Amino acid sequence: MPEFEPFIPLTGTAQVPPTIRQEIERRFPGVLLAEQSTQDGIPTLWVPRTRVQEVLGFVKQEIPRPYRMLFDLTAIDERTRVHREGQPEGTFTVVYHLMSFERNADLRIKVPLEGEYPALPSLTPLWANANWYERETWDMFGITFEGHPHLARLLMPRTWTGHPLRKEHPARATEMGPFQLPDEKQQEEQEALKFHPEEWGLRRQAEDTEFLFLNLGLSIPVLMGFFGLCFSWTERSLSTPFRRSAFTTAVPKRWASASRGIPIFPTRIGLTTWAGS
Amino acid sequence: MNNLPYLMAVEKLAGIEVPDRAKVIRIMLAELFRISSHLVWYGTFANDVGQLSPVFYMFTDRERVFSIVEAVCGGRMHPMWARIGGVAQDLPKGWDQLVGDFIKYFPPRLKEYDKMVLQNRIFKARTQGVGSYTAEEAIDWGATGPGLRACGFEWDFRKKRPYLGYEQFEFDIPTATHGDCYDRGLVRVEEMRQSLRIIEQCLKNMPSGDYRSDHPLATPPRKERTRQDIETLITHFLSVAWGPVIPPGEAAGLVEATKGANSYYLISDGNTESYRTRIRTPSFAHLQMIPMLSRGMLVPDLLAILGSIDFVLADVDR
Repeated sequence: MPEFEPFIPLTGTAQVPPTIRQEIERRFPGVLLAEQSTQDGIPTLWVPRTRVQEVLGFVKQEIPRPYRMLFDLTAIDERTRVHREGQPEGTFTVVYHLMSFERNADLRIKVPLEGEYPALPSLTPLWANANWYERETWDMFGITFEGHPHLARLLMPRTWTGHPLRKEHPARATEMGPFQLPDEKQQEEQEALKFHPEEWGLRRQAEDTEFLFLNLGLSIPVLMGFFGLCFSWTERSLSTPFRRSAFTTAVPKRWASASRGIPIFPTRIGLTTWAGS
Repeated sequence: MNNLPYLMAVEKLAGIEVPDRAKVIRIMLAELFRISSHLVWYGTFANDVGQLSPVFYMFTDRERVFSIVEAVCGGRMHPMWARIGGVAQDLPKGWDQLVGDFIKYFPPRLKEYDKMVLQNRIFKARTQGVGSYTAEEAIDWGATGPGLRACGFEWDFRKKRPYLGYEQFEFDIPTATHGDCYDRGLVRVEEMRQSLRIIEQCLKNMPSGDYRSDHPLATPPRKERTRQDIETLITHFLSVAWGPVIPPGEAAGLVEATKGANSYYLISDGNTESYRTRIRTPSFAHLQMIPMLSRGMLVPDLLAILGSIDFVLADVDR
């Protein structure tokens, strides 16, 4: 592991050879739209929508002492904001918060967007964890990430109308009509809860692959709710007769537990996905 | 502890300097909460992999932590005790006795738990070599906290970017090498010992002085001078009813929370509430890793993995 420097808040003094802003400008002349000063001292650079992928690829992969972690990805609805002095025009802003361990420094890249339901390229080819962050941002703001493998709602139910963190979305009970749940609506919501593994990219890998749903909660540290996991599984090491009874066996890790009469056998997990809480 | 990054961001925006006593009180409580959080994880993790007894011991000890927290704050789990610019009240009489007793009581218990859980052969068989990831993978998935340190990557924000004056405390960053379920556990158990060291230093060196800042934007505003003139009374009334008006700007606050890096990114538009609040939590990033960690494993391994990453759903959906 490389040596770490003590954390020095970037103040722009001549001692710190070249600043991240200079490094980016040297590689991509004229790419920066603006630099914003913030109270936490994190360098905050504005990059146009069309260049964001290459700039982020550069600071992750090419730069010496790179910014390897995508610490956070989120958006801001700028449409009703009053104080935006020195920031590029736009209706929405997507914010990338990167972290470099070698530098012990952070970097904030902001992308100004135009229009009511803007779009920009997905970062999923660059960072594995961009997946959920982009889904969340789409869910909350209605910003599309082009090229995302599965841009579906992450936190809100799939029947939800609108995107809750947009400024026009109702935030108080008095801004919405009274809540009603007629039978048809309930039926519709129940239908929407049905989980289709194929929609989530789970595929049957073999003839005997089955999908298993596992609802977890309360007994594990998930003390504040339940969540469901779905995975595809193939029975390899157990023969069929055992399948119909709950049993225990002395082979290490080959134990089973019965839940509602259905024995769950130790299985190899093919793919797992998270069904939401 | 999880409201600290919010306060740190607000205090940066408002330019409030927190007095030393408030800082050390915050640190002491944060470390007590770290112990109580790790105790919940310890017991339930053992429970997840089939040990039914440990959870009762751990939860009993957690009650001892809560009795200190309750004596100081009035509440147990979510005491809402921190305030912008300090804490709600000064420490009560006799707090040092309570904390001192706990520091004496807890280490032998931890030793016992080592024998009960960590040295248990079945526990080891269920967790060693299961759900491991490398430091490279951890960084690529945004993993922080004990899960990152278990890969041998010595990174703790309390050391690397000291806040609240952590740089004045002596403690080590526990790490492990394999990055599997067992090692994540080892790191957390050792962290409890380190937290005790920090609490002991807080006990011995609690600074005197004010427990909250004199800054006009600190909450709740000072009452004393409101009886002298009407202007102060009006300002006081508005600050209590609406809250302080924070100058426009942007700031993030970050702490090493029990489960990893927890950060608040606040945008103030010059109002009494933030224009945009972004909460970045560790569990969100960690839960996203489950498909990657569980592929090709057994179902019982999945439960060990879930237990070992120590997530809470409230920390996922925020």
